Amino acid sequence: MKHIVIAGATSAISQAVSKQLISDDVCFHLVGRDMDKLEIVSNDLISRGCGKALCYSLDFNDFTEHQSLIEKIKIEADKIDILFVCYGIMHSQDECEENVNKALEQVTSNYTSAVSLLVLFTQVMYSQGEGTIAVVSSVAGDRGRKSNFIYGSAKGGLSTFLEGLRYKLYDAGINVLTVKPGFVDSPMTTDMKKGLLWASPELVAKYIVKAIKLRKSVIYTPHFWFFIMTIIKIIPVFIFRKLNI
Amino acid sequence: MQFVQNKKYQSWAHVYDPDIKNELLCTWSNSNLQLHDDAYLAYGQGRSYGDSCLNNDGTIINTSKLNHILFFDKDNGVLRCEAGVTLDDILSVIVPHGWFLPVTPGTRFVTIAGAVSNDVHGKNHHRVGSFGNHVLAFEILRSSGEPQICTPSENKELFSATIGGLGLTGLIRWVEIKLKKIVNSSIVSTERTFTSVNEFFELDDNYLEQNEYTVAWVDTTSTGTKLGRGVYFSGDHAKEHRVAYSESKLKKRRLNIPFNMPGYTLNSYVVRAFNQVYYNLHKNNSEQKLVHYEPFFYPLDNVLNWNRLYGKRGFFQHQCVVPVNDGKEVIKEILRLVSNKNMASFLSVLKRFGNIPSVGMLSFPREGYTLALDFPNKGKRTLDFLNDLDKLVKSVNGAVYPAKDARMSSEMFVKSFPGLNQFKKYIDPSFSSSFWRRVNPE
Repeated sequence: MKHIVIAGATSAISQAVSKQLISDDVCFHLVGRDMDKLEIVSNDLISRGCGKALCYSLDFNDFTEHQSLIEKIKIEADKIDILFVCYGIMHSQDECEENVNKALEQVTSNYTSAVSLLVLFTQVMYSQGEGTIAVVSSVAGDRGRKSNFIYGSAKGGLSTFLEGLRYKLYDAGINVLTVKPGFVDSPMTTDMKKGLLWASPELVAKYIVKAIKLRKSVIYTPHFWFFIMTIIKIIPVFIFRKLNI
Repeated sequence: MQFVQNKKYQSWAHVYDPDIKNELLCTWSNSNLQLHDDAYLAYGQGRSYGDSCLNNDGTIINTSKLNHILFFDKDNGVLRCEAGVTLDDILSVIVPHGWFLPVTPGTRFVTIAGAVSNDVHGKNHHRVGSFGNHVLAFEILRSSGEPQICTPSENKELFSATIGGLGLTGLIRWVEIKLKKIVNSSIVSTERTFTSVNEFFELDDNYLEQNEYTVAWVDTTSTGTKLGRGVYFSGDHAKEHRVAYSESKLKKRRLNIPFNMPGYTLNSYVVRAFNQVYYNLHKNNSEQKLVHYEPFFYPLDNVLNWNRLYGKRGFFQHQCVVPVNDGKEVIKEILRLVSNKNMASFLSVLKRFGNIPSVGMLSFPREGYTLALDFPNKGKRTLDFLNDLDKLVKSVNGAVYPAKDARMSSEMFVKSFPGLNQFKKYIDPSFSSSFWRRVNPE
């Protein structure tokens, strides 16, 4: 049986990815904060034909619980074929600038807790000789922008961490995939105005699943974000500081 | 899977361009939504034609993310899923396990809660009744507080008010239905042409009882002795294990209408030509065929956004039901009126409903003939014409279908639904819709 761990299983992107990975020989290990929601997701996956789905409730910001989560998963899974990490919070930049606790919460949830989980999972997966670690970062981490640099810095840190981890695990046969979505129409962004650049979680998930299968290193989803971010990265500083992005 | 635009809460026929005051995204069926004093209405896929799924100046509860299947008993064919799950999604899950929807409308892109709220019917009405006849239970959240579970025996008044209740009794959170056993995904179908509406009535008398699914397409542009000629489709689920088509081929053939066509695209010449060609294609073609269920039940679903063919002014659907005996004359009279006034309906469907009583207080299906017509929106001319059709329907105590309606008078609505006064007792005071305010102008 294939074991797939989904950290942040109730997020819109995670749900769409899980649905596309369903197979009768797959066992999902669904990790999330809210047990009731996890059970809805697991029942959905089972009804749609996955072999098995187990739920683990976890507060990602409580690092002391991370080790015991891994122990619990180890009892059920002899090896982890795919670890998919997709959780986080997005407070508005203004909120974070006014309230340092919000800023720290944002960094903790999007970066520090992911580092903790990934270090611990790597310890377990290192000796497997195969497997995939796919983590959802963001295009927001590619360059610091005045409109969103606290969230962006956490995601930027995460992307850098993943790059290093990729080189580290290359010889161990484990692929590390960094996913950089642009605007995704999910509950996280309900209040934002939608437009041409927005993609559905299902579309983003389709590219993620494809990239996992092809063992890609970094993907922008949808692809056009690669071009947008390339342009944003090469804009000279004297122009960039005048832009309100 | 598509790129997302800012959500416009429109209905299928695009006659209205409503503004909403607020929207709530409901993502989990167990989350406790706080409903305040407001005019709420759940909105799924916006596949109702007129304004029964619209809530001008009110609050829309978007249920498109209530898309989880909660429970599927593969041995006994029982499925429980959240309100926003589409019939398309359900079919993709159940068909591989040998189950099918007990009743399906002509599109599979509606949500299950929409199917309940409009008590939708299908080509097998004469055998099994409408969708509500197969609902085992549902949970509804009312503004008064706690969610309630309704079944045919528990909370049965609210059960019966909610089925066909146009979303006015509260927010449906999940629905449980009994599925139908099938052997494979094929339908054995037969197409027979009839040269006049009289011949339809004869054909129907002969074949209705023999076949599980029957429906007729009518050429509304034919006149004189050919008045109401058309094609009679009948079908049954295949009884043996044999699949004669390629499943992969099926998926690819989809056309999308990317934007609104100019208003004159479906003018009467085009409609006339289409009807001619369609009739002639089916002539001399009455042998049995084995087809996949998709083209049999959902021919229009292969043209995504076909409503855009009518242009930005949209179109009106008119679907009525009239009693069997007095109704035949009315059906003929309607067809005569359509062809005399050169109104040319693009797709016209005629079917006989059976005598299985509907569960809902406000259910549309009842024994008789039902005729669905659609007309491009040409303003007053179309509206006057539709009022004339209503008069004919009213003269034999028939009914007009709210799910397709954008214009019926409140008098016609009252006449159509004898259970209306009983229904009103179960309306949630915090729920309303554009349709409801239109037909209940108080």
